[in-house]
Amino acid sequence: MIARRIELIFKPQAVSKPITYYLVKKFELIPNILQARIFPEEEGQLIMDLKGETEQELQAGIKYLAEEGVEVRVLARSIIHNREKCTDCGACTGVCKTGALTLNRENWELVLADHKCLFCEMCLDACPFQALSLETG
Amino acid sequence: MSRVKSYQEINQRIKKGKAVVLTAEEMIDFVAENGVSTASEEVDVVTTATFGAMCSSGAFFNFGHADPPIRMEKVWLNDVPAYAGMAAVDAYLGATEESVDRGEEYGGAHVIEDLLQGKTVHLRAIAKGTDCYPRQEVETDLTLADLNQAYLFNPRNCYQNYSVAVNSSEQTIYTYMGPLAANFGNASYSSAGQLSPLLNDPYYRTIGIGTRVFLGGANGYIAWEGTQHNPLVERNEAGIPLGGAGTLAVIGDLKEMDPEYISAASIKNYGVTIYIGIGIPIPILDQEMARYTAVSDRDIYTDVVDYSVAALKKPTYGRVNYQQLRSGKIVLTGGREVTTAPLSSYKRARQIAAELKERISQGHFLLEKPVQGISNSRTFRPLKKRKED
Ligand code: SF4
Ligand code: SF4
Repeated sequence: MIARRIELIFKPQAVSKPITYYLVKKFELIPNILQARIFPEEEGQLIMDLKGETEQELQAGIKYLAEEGVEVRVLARSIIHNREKCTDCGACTGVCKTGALTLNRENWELVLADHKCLFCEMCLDACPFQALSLETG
Repeated sequence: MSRVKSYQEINQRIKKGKAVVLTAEEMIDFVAENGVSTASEEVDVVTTATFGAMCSSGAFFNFGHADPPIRMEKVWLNDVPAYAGMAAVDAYLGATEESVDRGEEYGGAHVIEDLLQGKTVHLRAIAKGTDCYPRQEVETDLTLADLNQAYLFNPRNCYQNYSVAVNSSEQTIYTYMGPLAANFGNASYSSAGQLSPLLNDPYYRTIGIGTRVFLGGANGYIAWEGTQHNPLVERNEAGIPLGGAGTLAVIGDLKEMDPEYISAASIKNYGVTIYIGIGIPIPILDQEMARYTAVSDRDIYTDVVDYSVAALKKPTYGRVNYQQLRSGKIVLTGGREVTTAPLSSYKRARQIAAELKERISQGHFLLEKPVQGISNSRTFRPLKKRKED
């Protein structure tokens, strides 16, 4: 499972289309809507985490959105690990349920598999050294 | 019966560069292969270490006198209050003290870290003014080099074992053991287990007042038993305590320490704390010390405690050992599986044990025999209640 946090800007003519339905049905993606602002006769804005099995599937979904006239901006693509600040304490690994953060049990170093990250943000609060952040923009 | 070694003999061998020094991890394998008797003959020193959150820590400073002089009564360092109820330009900065304006984001630990990293720290002090100390306020910028004295004096470090924290409630709670997710979402543990100093000398035979230690990269000393020292907790057949037991008060020169081994931390919704690296060498005086230092994660047990219960005595959910904790999963009473994560860095603890081994092997670090032992019988009491309560 991989994910992207994306921002969608709707043109008025696209607002009526059930795009999240198509993302689920046609592209087998899982949209998780975090914020929605849709005003009639104006632009709509939607922030969502889009999850899929592979990078290709995700890209296909994003391409479909663009084709429908939706402007797509990728807000977060991965969790950033600041090696300088990290002490390899491992505190973040207890709250990461996706396996993105684990400890190497040979050398006890933190291992980040960022493609497994689903942006739950639990680890941001768990790190005593503020060594983890979300890459945005 | 094998030979008994003295501190003097061991130090002679260290000075000649001939001492056999192993880390506490290496000692486990050595004893498993060669037996306790051979190990007690051949091994001189075993190095132990830990790198974890040690909230009860802080530093004494002497700032030097201003002209005209001030007897500082209230002191702030980068807006973090330090205790100055001593004469005249001395202060004690507690690691967990939070900044007046930035709260849990920045505190005493961060000031100590900034000083260690060579950064400038802003000092502000006020006083009422006296005939001999007329000045009423002073402000200046200081670095570690500008201070007359700067030494860590930590009242309680190096906990001998510690319980595991879980949360049985319906919501995430934020504790000094980190965030604990609802419904036993995760379990947090903090001891370095088989590498931890006091678990390798469970009855404090060689770790006592005056013992020279590795403290934050410098030579430090054990000053006293730590606060809340509690040697009478339940122990297993091997003498290993089954929960938080002995503690140490340590002292050492901040000016000689290395930022690699001291890190300021902010624990969400709890506050500021400091991670400190401590290494303690254990002389293998006889077979008993060889046996103690061969202790492994398998032999060290601790209780799983429910931190969602807001009482001093909290319910427990079973007893686990550190091999299980380190595997990443434990099973609680009743069969529930819970993910585990450490709070202290085993990697840094290993690094410190290796560094101390190196210093001793090179003849740069000699052992000091304690001038007095720490208590094996002190009782640890809760806060006394008022009669009417
Ligand atoms: S945000 Fe952090 S805890 Fe959540 S999945 Fe990503 S790495 Fe794991
Ligand atoms: S909690 Fe922070 S410091 Fe500890 S291992 Fe994770 S990223 Fe590193």
